[in-house]
Amino acid sequence: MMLAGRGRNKIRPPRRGLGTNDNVDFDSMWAELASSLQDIHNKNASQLSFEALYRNAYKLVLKKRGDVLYERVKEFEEEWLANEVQPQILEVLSPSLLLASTGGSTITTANEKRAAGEKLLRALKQAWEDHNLCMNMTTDVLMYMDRVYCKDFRKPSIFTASMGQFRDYVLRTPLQPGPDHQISIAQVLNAVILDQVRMDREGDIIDKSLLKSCVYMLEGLYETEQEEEHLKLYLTSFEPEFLRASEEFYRHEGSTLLLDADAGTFCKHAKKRVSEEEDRCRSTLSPLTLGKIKLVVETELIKNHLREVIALEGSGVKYMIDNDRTSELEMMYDLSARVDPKKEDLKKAIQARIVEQGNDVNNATVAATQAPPRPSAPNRDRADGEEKAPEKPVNLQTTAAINWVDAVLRLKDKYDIFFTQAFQSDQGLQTAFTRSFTDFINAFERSSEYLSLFFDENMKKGIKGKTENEVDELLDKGIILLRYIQDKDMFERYYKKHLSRRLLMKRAISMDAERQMISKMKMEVGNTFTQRIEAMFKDMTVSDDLTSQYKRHVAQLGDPDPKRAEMEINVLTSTMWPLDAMAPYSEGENRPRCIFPSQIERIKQGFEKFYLDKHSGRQLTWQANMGTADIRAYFPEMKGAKKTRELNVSTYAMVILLLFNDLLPGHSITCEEIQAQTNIPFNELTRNLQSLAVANKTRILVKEPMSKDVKLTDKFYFNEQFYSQFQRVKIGVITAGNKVEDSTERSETEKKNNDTRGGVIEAAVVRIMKQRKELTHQKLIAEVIQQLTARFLPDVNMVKKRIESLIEREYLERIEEKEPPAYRYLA
Amino acid sequence: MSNTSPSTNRPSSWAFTSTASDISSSTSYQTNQLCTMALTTKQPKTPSKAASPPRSVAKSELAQSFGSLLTSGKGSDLTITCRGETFRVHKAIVCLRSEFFTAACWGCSKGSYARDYIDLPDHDPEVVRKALRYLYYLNYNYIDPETPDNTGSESTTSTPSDNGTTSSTQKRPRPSSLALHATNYGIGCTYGIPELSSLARDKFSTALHNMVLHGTAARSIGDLTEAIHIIFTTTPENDICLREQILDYVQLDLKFLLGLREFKKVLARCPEFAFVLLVREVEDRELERE
Repeated sequence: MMLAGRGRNKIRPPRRGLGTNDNVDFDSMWAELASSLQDIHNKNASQLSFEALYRNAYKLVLKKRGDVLYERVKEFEEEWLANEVQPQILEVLSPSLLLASTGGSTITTANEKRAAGEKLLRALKQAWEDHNLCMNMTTDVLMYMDRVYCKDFRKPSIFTASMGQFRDYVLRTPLQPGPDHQISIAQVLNAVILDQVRMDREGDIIDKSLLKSCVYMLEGLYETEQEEEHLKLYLTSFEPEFLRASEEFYRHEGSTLLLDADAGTFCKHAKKRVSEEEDRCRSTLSPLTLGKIKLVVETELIKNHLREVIALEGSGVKYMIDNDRTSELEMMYDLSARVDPKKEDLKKAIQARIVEQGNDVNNATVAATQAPPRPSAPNRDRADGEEKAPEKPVNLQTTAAINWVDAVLRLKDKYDIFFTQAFQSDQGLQTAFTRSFTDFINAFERSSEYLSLFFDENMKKGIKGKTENEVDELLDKGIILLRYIQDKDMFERYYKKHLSRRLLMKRAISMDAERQMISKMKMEVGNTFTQRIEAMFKDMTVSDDLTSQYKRHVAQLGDPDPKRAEMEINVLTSTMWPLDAMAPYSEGENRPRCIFPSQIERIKQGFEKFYLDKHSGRQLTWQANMGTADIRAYFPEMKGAKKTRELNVSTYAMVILLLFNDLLPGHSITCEEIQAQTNIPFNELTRNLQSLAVANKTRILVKEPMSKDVKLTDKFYFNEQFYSQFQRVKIGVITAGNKVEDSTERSETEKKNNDTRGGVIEAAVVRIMKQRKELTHQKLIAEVIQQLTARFLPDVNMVKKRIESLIEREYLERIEEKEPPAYRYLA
Repeated sequence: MSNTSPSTNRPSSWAFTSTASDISSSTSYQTNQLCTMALTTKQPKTPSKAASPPRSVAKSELAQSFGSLLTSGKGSDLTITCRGETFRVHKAIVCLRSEFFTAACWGCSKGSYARDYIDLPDHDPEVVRKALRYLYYLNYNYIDPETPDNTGSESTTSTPSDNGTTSSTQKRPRPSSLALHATNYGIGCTYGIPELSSLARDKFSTALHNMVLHGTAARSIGDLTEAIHIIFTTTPENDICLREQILDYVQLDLKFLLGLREFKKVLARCPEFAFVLLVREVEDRELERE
């Protein structure tokens, strides 16, 4: 037995006339309700009894008169809206407004037009608010009808229905009959709102809350009675017109602004416009429009003009960069980011400027190095032994090198500031910056050398008196430039050369700083890069030990020769040190061995014996060009009590000076004789003689004839009149310092570097082929380049040549009839 | 006989069904008692849930204090008149649960009809009292301790001791039970108090169920016909909640009922009821033929 749960077809009893007491007097009840509704609409409801009205409506619905009631209320509302509300609106509608909204020109003044517009807005606002209030009250009375009748018969609530009526009978009724005159209040309203917005954009003050109320009305009305969100009147009838008008406005404004304003002003203005529109959507119109109107401003005002603004002569990005207009650049970035996530135009402009400025630095450096025009071909100086003349340009060049690095760093700093303060640390821009810096730095062929010189200079002088942090910062900056340099092998070459001078001549101020630098380089470029440099440091420590061991050894031998010279030795591993770079001889040429005086030769042999006993099978080569010597010289005619002076000279100079010990007073020795007795290479000899006999303060020797050049026939005497107020005199040799190479040296270095690269490339090819066994030509080249870019960018032709050479030496072979061409590894 | 409760077979049209019975206070305990009685007849020895949880004690305290507000009329800001009776109530309490009162008191502020008294001449004052009682106590069956006779039959019949003995329940007729629930259901609909309707509907189901179970239809025929009349005159025709239940029952016992004078009367009094009943009978007959 079931009590419930039957599925039944609904058969409704007849709507009326069933039973005896179902009959209600509809007409009288409706009459009562209608008059009350009238009172409500006339704002005269205070005397009405809510419960009585409610009861009336309730009874009608309960007695199945809901449908009639519903229709009657609708009729009532329609009549009210059409006959009472709309005429009131029409009353305030001035002809000028009508004319304006049809597109006709008006002769009224702006003020009159504005007043007329506001009048209409106010009237509509009032009508809308009244209608809402009345309908809320009506809905309360008809609550039972909404709940029972409307729900059962799927009718829109009476409130919704009446909103649709407001739309149709107030806003959309044509003002004049006839098919060709389809002007309605809705259209006039649109025109008025647009006009007000235009005034607001032009800086006039408008009644925003009034406007907002009318927009609110449009947002509260829908095209259909289902009240779908996307069919709000605001979206269907107002917004498209608003966007169209805005498009036009900003298109026009953009082009006029471009004519009158500079880039900074343009940016400021555009930014202001965007935020104004945002504000407008919040305060005056609807937030629904926010995204769309922003897009309009961004497209019409920014996107369509941005490229021109960036390129604007005398105020565009170039100007902003040159004058450090960070805030303007920030705006420019902001605008670019709005319309183009990649900010291509801005990026290109900045990159162009970086390369331009970088090239300026490069060119200025080249110009500076050539500033004092050399009298003739650079080689002539040396050949003629002209000493002072080349010295200046050489120093100048070194200064130029340091200046170049400084200038590049300044440029880098400048863009770093832009990067963080104006460009929000944008990754894409950073990559672009890096590319541009890399471009111009590598376009400058001496960049590796100059950077190394920069480090050299700072290690020798620059870091003196600086705190640890300052040194750290300085090194970091240099490392940043190193990052940009493609030919890292070239840099390594120079760095080793400069470092070896610093180490051997004890010119480095702080070994800590040197080590720090190495570890920084290791972090930046990698282990393989610094391995050889570290080996140099290791040699230095080992040599220190060796020296003290040797000293102890000599003491144990018990050879208390008082005249015996003290010796300090640096034993350098020949493969790790750039020995050839320090004393350039072309390869294959035999290095002339210096002939040492006998007392030195004895010590030398003693050490050789000591060393080779410890490490058999090694070969020691003496680098006389690298050393220094302290000698105590006795000047019989020296003024003052003490007649000895300590001279700090190069090893060669010592060898030369010792010759004069064997000479009788007043006798001379010619340059040719000196060369014969010492076997010092001619260029080194002249340089040393120059510093001993020509330089003013250190004239230990007298040269005859007295001139700057040193010729083979020149005679040298011991200068008995030498005087120095200092006890210790340092006699420098011109070439001792690290200098910029001249072009012959440079091409020499490049040649050597290329030779090294050849080896490295071959090694890479063999390594790759050994692993892959077979590989196409293209892939091999690609892999080689990929493996080596960390050190340098290999030249494809060079790689090809190396492959050829490897094939000749039967490391590889071509695979016959293979397309595309490929190679096979031969074990 | 299947004792499936009708209310569980039919999807509830009111969202607050369960909440309303959860919230109900000590009086709801009595209501539950009715249900328990109905469902536990097969095992009459099973003791019913005697102790009510402490939470409902607190709730009942709140209901008590609210109730005192209604009886004393303290702080009242709204007067309801009904055929000479006056109820002094509180807008804050009555408006919270009733759309009608909300619209009447808290409706549109400007130029509206909001006043401090409301006249409800259409209803029996007792009906209005019950509805108001619901608004304060969340249950209209609340028994005022001072007037135990007031619909007190339910509370006495449903004590645990009487539980198993059908005799005691049969001895005491509950004349106005179905009609009362139907009335309250209608009131809930009329004045927009969905929770009241839902509570009344549940109580109605239980009461009807009990009547079937105990075969007391003959004795409560007055109550039954009154309920039919109320349902078919105060609830909208598409609201099938109570209509289906009562029709299902009537069809079940139709032969017996047709022998009763009272029932014939209601057929005449409520043509709509007679019509629907007829339609359903015909439909059922067709179904059986198939």
